[in-house]
Amino acid sequence: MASSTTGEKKILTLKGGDNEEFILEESLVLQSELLKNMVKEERVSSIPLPSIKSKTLVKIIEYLKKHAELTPSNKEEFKNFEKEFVNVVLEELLDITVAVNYLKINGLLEFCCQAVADRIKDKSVEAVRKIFRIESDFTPEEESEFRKETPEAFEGDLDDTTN
Amino acid sequence: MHSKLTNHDSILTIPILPAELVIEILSRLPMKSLLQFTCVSKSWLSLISSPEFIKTHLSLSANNKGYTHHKVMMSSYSRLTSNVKVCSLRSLFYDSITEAFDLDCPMLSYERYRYDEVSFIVSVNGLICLLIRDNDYFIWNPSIRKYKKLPKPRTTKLVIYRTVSGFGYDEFHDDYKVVMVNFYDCADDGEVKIYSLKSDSWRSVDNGGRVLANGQGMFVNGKLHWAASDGYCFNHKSKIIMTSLKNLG
Repeated sequence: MASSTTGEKKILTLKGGDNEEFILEESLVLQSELLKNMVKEERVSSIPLPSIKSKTLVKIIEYLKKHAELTPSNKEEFKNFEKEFVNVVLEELLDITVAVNYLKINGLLEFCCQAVADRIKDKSVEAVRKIFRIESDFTPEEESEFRKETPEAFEGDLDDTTN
Repeated sequence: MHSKLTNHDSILTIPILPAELVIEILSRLPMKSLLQFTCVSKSWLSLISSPEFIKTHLSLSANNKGYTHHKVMMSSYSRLTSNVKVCSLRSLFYDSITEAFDLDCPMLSYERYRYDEVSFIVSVNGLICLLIRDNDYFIWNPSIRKYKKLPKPRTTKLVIYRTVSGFGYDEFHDDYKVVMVNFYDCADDGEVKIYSLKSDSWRSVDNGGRVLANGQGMFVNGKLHWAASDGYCFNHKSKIIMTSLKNLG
């Protein structure tokens, strides 16, 4: 198992939803409040994260590495990395955001939430319902009243949920 | 009409977002989108209109480091048209040219005033307070296009020589307040009236300090600031006085 210690650096294994294993330095995962508490309280060396897809975990680990290398001199480079980081299809961005929320990685969570907000701000009410899996519970009368009052909220080809 | 074909596979894999995450995302949306999304469902409507959400949203917008939501309001007077213009603060900082847009004051057309009858106009937390003619005060929220005409303050005399006003937010009582100081002749102490939005009423307050405010009150760092003098003589001292809204009204 990957619970070995190389020099001073402790190694930790994260297990993604599809049982794929990611071996990384413990210091990296301390950016996550959830994992930090787990590591500190239970001294675990392997943490299963069944609710997080491996694809999502790869992205998050990539961020943790970049963030750990952040210095005042590469600030610009990091900003560009952040921009690219959220430049994925909406579904993937939501996966990442949900995982970051679960792992409690604070700075990244705010950044992801803003990125989701920027993606949905111009979408139609229908599209937003699909994205958040909400069924309208308004009466047909109320619904048609909304459509009369703010037709622009329901118009256009804005119900694309992938971008 | 709304049965557009969409890729159902991709929709089904969209994760279900926990409620606290939905709030985090929604509180980062611009006002325009929030207004539209009140039609998404009853729970979104009640969330977006709840006082807690409104406060979180306001504080996130106000503390936005890119000044994305900050606006600068200015009065523009010309021979043909006078009105309020707004422009983006972010654009003033970062763009070489900033475009200013007209902000239509709904109360002017509905209540038949002219803009040159506006004698006081300030903004706090995105709310705009106006005084039109002698004592018609309005509090107006341009984002939701709603305004409220305040009840008329009862002044001791009909003819007012001069009025100075202030508008601010009392964080302690979570209330917006309007301060009106009336001078009935050029050497009088000033009569102070305070309006509270929560109680929707005016009350009189003692102007204890005999300080003569010269200009309009400016709301900075949670307090109203007035340029003032301590007398009418030529050698009077000018000063800035500060009023905390917490103890007024």
